Amino acid sequence: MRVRWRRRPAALGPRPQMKLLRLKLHTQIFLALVLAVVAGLLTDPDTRLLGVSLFAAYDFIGSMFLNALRMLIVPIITSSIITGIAGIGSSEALGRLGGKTFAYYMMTSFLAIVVGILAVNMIQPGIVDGEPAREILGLSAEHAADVAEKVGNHDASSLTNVFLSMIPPNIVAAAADGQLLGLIFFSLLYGFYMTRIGDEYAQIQYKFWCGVYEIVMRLTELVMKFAPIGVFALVAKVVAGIGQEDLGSLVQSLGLFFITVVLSLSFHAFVTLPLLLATLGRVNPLRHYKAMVTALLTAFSTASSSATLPLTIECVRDNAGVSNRVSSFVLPLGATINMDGTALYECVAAIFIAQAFGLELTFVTQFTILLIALLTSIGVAGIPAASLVAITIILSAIGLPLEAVGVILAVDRVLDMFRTSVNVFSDSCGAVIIARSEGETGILTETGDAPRV
Amino acid sequence: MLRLKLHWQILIAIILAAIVGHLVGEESGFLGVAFYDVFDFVGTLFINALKMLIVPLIASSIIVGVAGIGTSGDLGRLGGKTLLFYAITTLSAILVGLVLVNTVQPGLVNGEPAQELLALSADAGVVAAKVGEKGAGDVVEIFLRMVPPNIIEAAANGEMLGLIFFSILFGFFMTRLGHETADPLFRFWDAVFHVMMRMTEWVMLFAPIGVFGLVARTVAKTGFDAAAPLIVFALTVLAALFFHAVVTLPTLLRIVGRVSPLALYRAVAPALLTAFSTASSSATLPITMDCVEKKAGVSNRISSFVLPLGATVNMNGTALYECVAAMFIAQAYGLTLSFGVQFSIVVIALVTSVGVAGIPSASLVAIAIILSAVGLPVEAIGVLFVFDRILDMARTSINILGDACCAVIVARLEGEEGVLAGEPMEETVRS
Repeated sequence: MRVRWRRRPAALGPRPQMKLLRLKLHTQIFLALVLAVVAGLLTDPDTRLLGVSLFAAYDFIGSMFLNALRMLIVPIITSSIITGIAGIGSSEALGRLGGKTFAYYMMTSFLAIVVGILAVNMIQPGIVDGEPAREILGLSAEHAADVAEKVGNHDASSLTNVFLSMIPPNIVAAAADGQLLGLIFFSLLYGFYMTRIGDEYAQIQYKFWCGVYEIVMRLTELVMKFAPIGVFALVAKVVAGIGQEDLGSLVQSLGLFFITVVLSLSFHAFVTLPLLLATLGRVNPLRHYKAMVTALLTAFSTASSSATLPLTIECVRDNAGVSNRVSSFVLPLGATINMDGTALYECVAAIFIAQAFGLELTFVTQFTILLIALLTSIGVAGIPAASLVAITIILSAIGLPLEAVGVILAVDRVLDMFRTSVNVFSDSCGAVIIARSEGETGILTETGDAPRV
Repeated sequence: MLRLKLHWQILIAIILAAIVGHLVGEESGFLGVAFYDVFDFVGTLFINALKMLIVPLIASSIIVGVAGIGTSGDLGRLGGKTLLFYAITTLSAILVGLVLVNTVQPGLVNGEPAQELLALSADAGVVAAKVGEKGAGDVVEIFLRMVPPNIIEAAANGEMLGLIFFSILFGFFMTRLGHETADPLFRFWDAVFHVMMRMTEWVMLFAPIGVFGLVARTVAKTGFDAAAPLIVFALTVLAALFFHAVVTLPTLLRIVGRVSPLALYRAVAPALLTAFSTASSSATLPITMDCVEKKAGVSNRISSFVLPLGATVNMNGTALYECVAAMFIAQAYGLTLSFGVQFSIVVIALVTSVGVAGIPSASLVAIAIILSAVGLPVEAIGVLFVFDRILDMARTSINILGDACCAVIVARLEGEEGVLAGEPMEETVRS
């Protein structure tokens, strides 16, 4: 039984850092945000320092940061999906269990995304007082027209076109044009058939793509080191552009966005997943919450699925009473491919930005968003600052500009904590449901709870 | 359910498509969805999937193919001679095809382009512009195109000539590296090639559905009128193949090999029949080797080198067919292809036959490559499917015959005695 995906690094080990930068990345980003608001309020589009327009400087730095992120998209998508799928495909020895796990993870992610899309369409956080919030997000109107056209190009006018764009006539052209749906589909196929060729060939391919994946991960880390500077520039540009008076509406709009995400995450965690537990697993959901509470709190405070993994396994095994066989397979896999909360968040964020641009996203575009979020979640999970990269991917897949990413980052850290908890909770539900379907007894019964008492 | 062989499935799909397409027509629909659009969607999806494979397939197969030939460099003179003869026979086959297709003009019906009849939907003007852009007006342009200024851009734009040339160079220089660096690289590309083969097989599983869509679309639009130019086309191909088998190859045998062509036909007849019924060069290979060694009297040293190489590199019939097919489609669009474009078709057919051979349903993929390289719409594959199986059987036999001729000629050039002398005669006497 070779489980090759284990060799794919879930997270990179600690490396020496400069003393100055010892603040955690999210703290740095937070400081950058505060500084950016201050700097933005002090400058306006015409302020100059030594003859250089500060606004242009913000713009330059922000674009540079976004370009760096964009530059990584194609290799990230390709290598992460190929290695991810090859990993799942080769652990075929686990057969039925693997299939069930995969089906469950796909289903919950799908449900989470649907909840998110419904919520964001009802609440419409991107629309303030009946007007698109583009002004206050620092997005100009003529820019919006360009964007609308671009989305129109990317967007399929009909559902059949979505499927046609999944199978691009030229894969290199698809990569060059950023037609990510086609690239994702090709990578899925490639990864799958990589496991279906002779072992000798498969090994060298797998090692190669793992190497690419690791290199791209390191590159992403490097780019993320500049995130504070990039975020500073992006946010300062927005704040400088809109001036003091609109800052209130900006906060209001972001607040609404925040609430939308939290609401739909809670719906997923407190309605969808318990329903699944009760119907598919026939266990008492309340007991499961009780069993998982330590892991959930850790996930919330660390915002890292992989850091929480040992605790998750412990809770599921000792408190919920799931067998080691199931939990040691389902949970590590979940930590890398199952990201209900993240997928939900990505979709809400993409639609929020579209709303802010005043774009009416058709059903088909929203379907495309769903598809991409679902498919990328297989591969992108292990990447540092996954959410930021994933949003970049989704936005560029449907043709939305990336500038708005900076604004969203303002609330990203807190949402990340919620998202991660939901991810971990969904993983643990998966373990319970699959254990039940494998015919295990004694899960979440009184005796199962006993060790905690 | 799917235990029927692929070509039977495709045949059934064609027949069903003809019936359904005829019954449905262009207008009718179900629940507001026109059947015609459904056929179109299914067909396009299949064609897209085929096209998607082209670039990685071409690059990996040619790199691996060239590197594979290059590493067997210790065979030196023999390898050079073999390759030379393979190139000569393939080239002459292509030329025969080109001359014939230009004379018969199967793409014209009553002097008019058959575009309408074949329901080729792409706008002829657009196609003409595209061909003009890709196909190059004169020969100088073609050479410029062979060395593209940006290889990724060439791949993205589907400029096959540049991609092929780059891949050949890459494969060649891969063998000139130290083993330490060359080995991982070779294994990497070999693995890519294998993955792409698997993906091609997977896509071909959908061939019956895709072909159904393509053929049904054609029949729904034009009825059975499409059959007439297709029959002429099939006959053209058969005539060209026949000419190659009974005129070109025997002439070469006589002049260069100084042996009796009739004796060779007799010796390899079993292999030809097997090739005809299986339509697979590689499946026939053991029989070909047996015939060439035992009946034609070629030494094992030569046959064991020349024939396996030929089964992957030398495809007289296939190259001929590809050219005729591309010309047929161009004629159907009412395009007069300049000498330059025809020359580039020849070059691409010649070069792709080096790499593409091992691929399942190679001819289909190869035609997709040629069509997109010249700038013709790949959708046209659908109509070519109708007679593909029969032509494939004929093509494969010609491929095998070409391989066997090369084996005999190379053996003669190496100074072997007793090739096609005596032994076959004895056998006929005995029987």
